[in-house]
Amino acid sequence: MIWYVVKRVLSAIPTLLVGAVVSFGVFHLLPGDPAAVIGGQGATPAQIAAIRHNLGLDQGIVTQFVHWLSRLAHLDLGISYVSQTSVTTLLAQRLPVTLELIGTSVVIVLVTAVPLSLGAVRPGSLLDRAAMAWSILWLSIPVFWLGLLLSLFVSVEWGLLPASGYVSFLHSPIQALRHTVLPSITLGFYLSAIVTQYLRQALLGIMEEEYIRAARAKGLSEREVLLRHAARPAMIPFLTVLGILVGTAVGGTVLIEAVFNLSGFGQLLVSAVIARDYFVVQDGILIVVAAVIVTNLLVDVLYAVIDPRIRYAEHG
Amino acid sequence: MPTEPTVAEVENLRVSFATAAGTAMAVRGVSFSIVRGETVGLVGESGSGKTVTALSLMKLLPQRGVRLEADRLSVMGTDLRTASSAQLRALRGGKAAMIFQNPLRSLTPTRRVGGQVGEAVRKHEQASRSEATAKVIDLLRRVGIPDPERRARDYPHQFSGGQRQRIMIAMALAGSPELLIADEPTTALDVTTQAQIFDLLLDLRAEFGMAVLLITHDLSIVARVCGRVLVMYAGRIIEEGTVGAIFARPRHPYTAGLLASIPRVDQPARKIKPIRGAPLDATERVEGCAFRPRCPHAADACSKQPSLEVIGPQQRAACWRAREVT
Repeated sequence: MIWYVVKRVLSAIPTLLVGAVVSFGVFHLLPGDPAAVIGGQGATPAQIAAIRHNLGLDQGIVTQFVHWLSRLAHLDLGISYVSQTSVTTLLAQRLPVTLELIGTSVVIVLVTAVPLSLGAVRPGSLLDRAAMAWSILWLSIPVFWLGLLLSLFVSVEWGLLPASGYVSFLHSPIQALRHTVLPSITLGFYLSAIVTQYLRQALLGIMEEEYIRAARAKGLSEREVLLRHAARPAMIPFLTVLGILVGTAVGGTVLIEAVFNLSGFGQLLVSAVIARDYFVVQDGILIVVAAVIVTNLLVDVLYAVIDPRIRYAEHG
Repeated sequence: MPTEPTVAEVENLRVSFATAAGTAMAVRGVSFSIVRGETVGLVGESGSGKTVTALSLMKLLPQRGVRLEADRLSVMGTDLRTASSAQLRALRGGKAAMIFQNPLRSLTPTRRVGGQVGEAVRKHEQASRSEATAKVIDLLRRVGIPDPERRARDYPHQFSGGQRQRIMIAMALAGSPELLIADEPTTALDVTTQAQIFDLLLDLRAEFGMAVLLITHDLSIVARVCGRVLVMYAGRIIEEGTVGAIFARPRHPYTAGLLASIPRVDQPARKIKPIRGAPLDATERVEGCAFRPRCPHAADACSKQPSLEVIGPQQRAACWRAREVT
């Protein structure tokens, strides 16, 4: 088991490296001169040249890449040109917002997708049809529109919850919760729609398996069969899809952040790209890549915990 | 306490499935009974309805799209047509148990073997945790798993095919069954392992006094293991009798064809005569004898469905020309 984890971690490193190359390369493919954008309309050629030099853009591309990597190794993420603060500080402000949003959305996913997908045990039943309806509904409604609707009715019309803003859990749990409800529902229902489909499909397949029939042949009730024989195998596709969704959500919450005026990581990254805020973009894209790699890694480890065949395969 | 002489009684069992191609009649009127302690073979090709018949005895067929009717369907005294879920659950794995064809797929891959056997034990016996564990180890030892204390903590994929089937047998024995239904238990195993499993089953049968219904397509296994055999074709029993009688003188052309197509070790140069044609598709409606298109003895009379008639002292066949077949 240890070996399995070690091997997975080691294989994540080259992937991360490739991710670094890609995030570096992507930014340099953007049209226009970052120094000119940063300098603004009235910048003189001399000022632009100075900015270029500051950013190290006058060096060869490989040199720039290597410099960047070596700074990262020293945990020096650079300075945001736009806000003149260290990127580390910016991330420390913005990442928690996005991560909390994702976290509470996952709770909503668990609370909705798991019970609904159990309808697969009796295909065509009321619960099963509710699950399919749920899934189609929240996949069809654009996320930002749902956010706006919720904001409009629940906050503005009925005044039940705040429409925007962020309060840290550490500051005031109650207020944090109140601010989190609407954005989490907006993101959570969408994620839940996807997870419900996957889990339902997985359960449908599992209930057809021969070991389920053999379990019934022992005289177990449907509930015992479900909990003791179907649940664990179902966790594999469940974790797979949840892992992908969570990993990619780190870079994907910008619309919700915009609707609810959350100063999150998504907004940071988008505005940095627009402003060609060099270091923020580089490091930001890398974080998105790393998020996906790390969640994949975690899911891989969980696979081994759940499925002994995966765990023991490493022993040969 | 007086006990019933039979462990299972089936009369006019009919099972149909709703499929995209229409209604498939898997079982078209099957009747038989199993006497306490006897070993009965249920033989037929794939699609003959033998597995569906076996699953009907445990009511393990899916609920949706399946229609099961019978004039009588009684296992261990329980009328399966009217039994409640609780009664069915008490029966399954208890007095009536079943083992399946593919032991790797029939064991839950994510649970330890000891737990799966233990589950069956605790379901059907009043036993404390430690008593159940002891019983599990005892059962595993009894079916021939070496070092059972340690192996009980292993997972199904860590065993060989033959061992997995032994584990399934151990699970089936947990409730001290009086009827064991074995659905092609050795089809997925190699010949040597097959022999070992059957030796085990015969031992256990003697020790536990249980009746065995063995579903198989392999007549040579039936000859080895069973006392009585039921031959199924296209959802019906077309011949039944003691193994001695059937093998010596099969009366139905299909049975004769099956026997003629078995390769024989003592006659290596013998040409094997396969039965021409293909088995009936379950969605086809049949007028008269279903075997007619493939039968070398077909005659005009065969346009009417023959019923099972007594041919010899221990034999019945459903064929108008039974007396002329061999």
